[in-house]
Amino acid sequence: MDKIAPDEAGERLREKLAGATAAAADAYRQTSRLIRVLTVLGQPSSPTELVERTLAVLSQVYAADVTVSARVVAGRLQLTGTCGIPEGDAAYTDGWPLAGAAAEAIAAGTAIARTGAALDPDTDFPPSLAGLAPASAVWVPAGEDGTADELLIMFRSRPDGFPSADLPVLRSVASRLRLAVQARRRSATVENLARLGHRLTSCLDLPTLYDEAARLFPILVGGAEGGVVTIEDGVAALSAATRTDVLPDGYSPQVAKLWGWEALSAGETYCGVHDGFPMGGSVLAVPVMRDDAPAAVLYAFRYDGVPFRSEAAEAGTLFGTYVGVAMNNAELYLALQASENSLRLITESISDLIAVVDDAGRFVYASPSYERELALPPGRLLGTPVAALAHPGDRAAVAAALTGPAHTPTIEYRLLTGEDRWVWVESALRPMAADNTVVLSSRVIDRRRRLEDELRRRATHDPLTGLANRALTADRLNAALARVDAPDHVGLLFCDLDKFKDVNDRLGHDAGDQLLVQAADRLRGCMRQGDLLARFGGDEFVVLLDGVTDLDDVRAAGDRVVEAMEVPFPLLDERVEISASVGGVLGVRGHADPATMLRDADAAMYAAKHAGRGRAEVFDDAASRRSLDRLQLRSDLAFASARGELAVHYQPIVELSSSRIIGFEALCRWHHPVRGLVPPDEFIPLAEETGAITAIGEWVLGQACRQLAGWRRLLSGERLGISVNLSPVQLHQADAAARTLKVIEESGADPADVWLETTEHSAIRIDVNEFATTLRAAGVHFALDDFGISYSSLSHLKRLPVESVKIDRSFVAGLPDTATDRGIVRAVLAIAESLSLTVVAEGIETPEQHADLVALGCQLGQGYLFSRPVPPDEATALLLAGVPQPSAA
Amino acid sequence: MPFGTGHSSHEDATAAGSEAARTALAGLDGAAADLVIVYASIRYDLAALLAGVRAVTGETPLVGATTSGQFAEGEFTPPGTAVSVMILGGGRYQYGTAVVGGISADTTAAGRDLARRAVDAAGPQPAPHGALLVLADGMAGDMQGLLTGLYRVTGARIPVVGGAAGDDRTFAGSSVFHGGDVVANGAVAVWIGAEQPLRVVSGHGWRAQGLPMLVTRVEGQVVHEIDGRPAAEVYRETIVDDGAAPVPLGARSDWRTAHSFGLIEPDGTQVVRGAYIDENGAVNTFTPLPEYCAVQIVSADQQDLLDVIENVVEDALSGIEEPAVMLTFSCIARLDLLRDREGEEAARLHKAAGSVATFGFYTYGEFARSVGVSGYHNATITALAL
Repeated sequence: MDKIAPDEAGERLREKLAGATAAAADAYRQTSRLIRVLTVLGQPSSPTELVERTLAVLSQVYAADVTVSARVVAGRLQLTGTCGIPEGDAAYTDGWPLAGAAAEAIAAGTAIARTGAALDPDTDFPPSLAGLAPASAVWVPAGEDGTADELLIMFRSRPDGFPSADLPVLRSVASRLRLAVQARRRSATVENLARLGHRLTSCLDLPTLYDEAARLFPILVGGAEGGVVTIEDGVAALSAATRTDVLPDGYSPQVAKLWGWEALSAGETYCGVHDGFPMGGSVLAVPVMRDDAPAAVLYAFRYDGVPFRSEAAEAGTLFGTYVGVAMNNAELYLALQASENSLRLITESISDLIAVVDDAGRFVYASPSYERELALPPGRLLGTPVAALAHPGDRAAVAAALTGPAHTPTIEYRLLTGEDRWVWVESALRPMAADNTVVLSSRVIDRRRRLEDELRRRATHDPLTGLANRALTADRLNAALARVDAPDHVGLLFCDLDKFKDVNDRLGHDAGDQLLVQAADRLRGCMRQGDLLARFGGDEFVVLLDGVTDLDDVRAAGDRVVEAMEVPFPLLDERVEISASVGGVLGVRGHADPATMLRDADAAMYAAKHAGRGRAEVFDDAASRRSLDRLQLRSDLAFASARGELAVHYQPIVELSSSRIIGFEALCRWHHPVRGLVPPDEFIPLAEETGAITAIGEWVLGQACRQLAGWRRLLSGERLGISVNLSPVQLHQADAAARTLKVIEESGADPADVWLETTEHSAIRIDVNEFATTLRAAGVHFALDDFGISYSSLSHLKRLPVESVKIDRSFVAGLPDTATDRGIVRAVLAIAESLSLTVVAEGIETPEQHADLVALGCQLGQGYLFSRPVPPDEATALLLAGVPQPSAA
Repeated sequence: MPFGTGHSSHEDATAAGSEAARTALAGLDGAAADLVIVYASIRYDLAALLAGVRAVTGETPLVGATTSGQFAEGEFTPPGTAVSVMILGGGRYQYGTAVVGGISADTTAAGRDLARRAVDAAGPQPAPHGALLVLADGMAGDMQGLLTGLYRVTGARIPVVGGAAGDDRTFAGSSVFHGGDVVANGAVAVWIGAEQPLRVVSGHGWRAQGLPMLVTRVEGQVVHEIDGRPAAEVYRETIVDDGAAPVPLGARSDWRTAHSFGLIEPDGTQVVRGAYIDENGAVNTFTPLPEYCAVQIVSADQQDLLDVIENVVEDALSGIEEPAVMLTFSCIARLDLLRDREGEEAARLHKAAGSVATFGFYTYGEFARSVGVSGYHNATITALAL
């Protein structure tokens, strides 16, 4: 035995393996071809789709450039499906000649495959393939009982032919395709019959019935056009057709001239292909038999000349009997109508709309007034469901009322008139137990409904802008919050136009109104569908956002509103600039409370205004709670003075070297009945927001000055100073100077003993010139309260005739060890000295601080080391006894 | 045939469009422009980019697509901010452009519609021969369906070439361009009418390994069963784990790029269908496999992919009289696999094509229909010479 080298053996094994793999791949491909075609045949689809899909899969699995299914019709091949023949090819209308291999395959009933030279281009290639030059092709016949009348054809441009082993598979594919298509067609026809047949029963007059039959018949049998010919006394008359131009008007031939009359007169269907008049192509005719003779003939036509199949003829016969039954019904109805003529005379004179409705909700009778009042001819209404005429929004209610008339004796709904207009109708329903019908007595209530609608609109809308009003908004908000099954939340925006009052004052109310209307339009542009826009009066707009994800959505909507208002408004030939302050909140459906949401949105809007106008603020729960708190405090503050909850306390200002009291700083205190002592840094900003600060400030000034006058008397004229804080808001008052001076003068105090303390910040922001000049002239002094904290610019000192500055407690706290604080204190003292200002150090708490300030050359000071702010009695006691001398630590 | 190509990586979309179009137009040397082809990154404001192009090219019909990398005349542009423009001119071919949107609803109907419109746009006197250039949002559904629709209208004689638009590997969505319009979930086509027959060619370089298998249950892109067994099990057994190989930035890491399904064609060749295991452990293919199709696992290395280029070019240019340009479409899968050698493809294409200008982009699938109705590919390089 020869020895085989291991490499060689390996190589042989590899070759064998490759061969086996290739054989397996081939076998798999063959198997998969058949399975893929069978899979397509098993999928649900219409007959046409089935053919197209199968041909596409065949093209894929056999690499065929063109696949065609065709039927032999009158010696030609009529294409029933193609893959690879372009649209518009003449083959779709003319078919192909039955020649060459195609003819042979049909004649012999066997599949034929040809490749290369075996192909005869003259007879084997149909005209559609010009330019494709097929190199191989196969023709596979299919048919019943040994007679083949259909072909599956495939052409390949590649020369690899269809091997004989493929042919049995292809025969199986072709016949399965044929069977599958037939089965699909049958079931489609039955479905169509079931779907279309009942439509005839609702036609209660003959012309409508014929029209409907002419329309439905070709749909059922796969024709292009349809027609109905009626027969009376041996003469045919065209009663309906889908195309009216096929026969001349009044065409009425003798029946014997009708195509296939012999078959028709015997009650059989007729299929044929005809040229010329009245319509070339194939024809299917079905007689409608009464008393053993055709009373009418139903026609379906196809332009392409493809004969109607036997399934179509079967379905046509069934449809013919449906038409016969419907004709009987219509004639009976006609007779019934005649007998009701007298009743008609009565009902015609009634303007009410009277109708009888069957148990399926369809008109079986409608009075002539339907045509007069609603332009709906009774003839057209018969068989129509009442609900079908009702507005989609009312349909369910109408249907329900007709089903249970005993529960719904009357119903109001919108009805579509013959002039395509909706009118409101009120119907009284009376059930007739005898025949399960309902008598509808209706009248048009359009005018009344319109009036009601208008009243309703007026009650819920703002007349100026047409927007929703507060009541409607509350309703809608309630409803939105109650929809707990919705996955999202509800947002609410409060918008207030900044400077609207200025516009109103400057340009008049008409212009103001115009501005509101324009603003409303802009707001509409910011809304999404389903949002509600409302005006609560004045310049206050509200937006209900039904369906937001989170607070960010609300903020985004608020920002849109702000942005929309930034564009100037054209008003009386000028461009008016306003802005909007917007507050927004988020409400969780099923949890949020409408009133709370409205209140919080209002508060958020107020916060936006406070933060500088022309912006949007949104409140989350915590912000809402804080705002609620502030709101409460604000409203309490309004009454604090009247309820005697405010008091003035006094902190001595001493000469640091001797601890001698040279004056007091007056400080306001609020004893809240519930919260106790409210810190000034909490309630003073609130008072400034609400404007209450003016009254409070003047009250404090008055109290302090009167106290000062009292002390002066007690000290027998010894000089004593009083420092009172002045809010920037007070400086804003138009007559601030006069009012302040009046308070001082009325108290009996000497203006020269009064020191008004203001902040550097407010001195910069407000033009205080006139105020300062007036008061300074009267002898009042000014002190700067927060020197060095904010805008430390010496030039600011010139704006106010300041004679004293205070060193803030934060710097004093750092003494003596913090170098920066000490540096600042030293600098302030140096500046003050160079400008001849007195300096008061605030917040002295320890002897060390005291000692250091003295060492730095500071002369005056105040702080807990000497005394906290105390009530007037205690202050008087201090004044008499002196503050304790600080002892060095 | 007069033509020109241009390229820009300008950050500003309008400026980039104008710059690339100006360079391309200059190449025409004054000849009339007939068709503008624009390939651009999704990173641009595409409407602005097209406005920039059209500011230069005016009403000349324009088609294009978003890409995942581009190449022109040997230059490779990786995925990222860039636009390439080719302008064809001189009246040698007859062009009819068309667009359809909303193709995902029914790709076959969309294909039919698209072909009809493109043929109509070419005018009443059709040239004796032709081809269809198709660019589509390949993530919008069954692209073979689109081809089937086209085929029903144009028939077997008209080859189809083109590619599925890319999106710089972000899988954020792709678009096609028509005139100044940017259309997502759409397809654009150019009917190219010619006096001589045109050829569409393709190649991939992947090789079958192992035994054939029958796919026995498929639902859309999910392959449930192969040979009657759970597909994931079979897939894992058959595929050598190359998951450790580094993938380019942005490329899918769940895609075993070096192994795919090869759909066995009637002539024994394989159409490549890339596959990956999804988060549920199911085997998915980027393009649906037909149920009961025969498949083999195919694999390729970088050299296999590059070695196919010369054959494709030779095939594309043979039988075309005086070819001037070669419209080429290469799959992103090739780029993912070429990794460090990604620039070589453009260079070898350019070299093989000689004086013929190569122009194309990296696609999410290629259209190359020349025999029968089949013609949607993955992982191939596809070309049409004009």
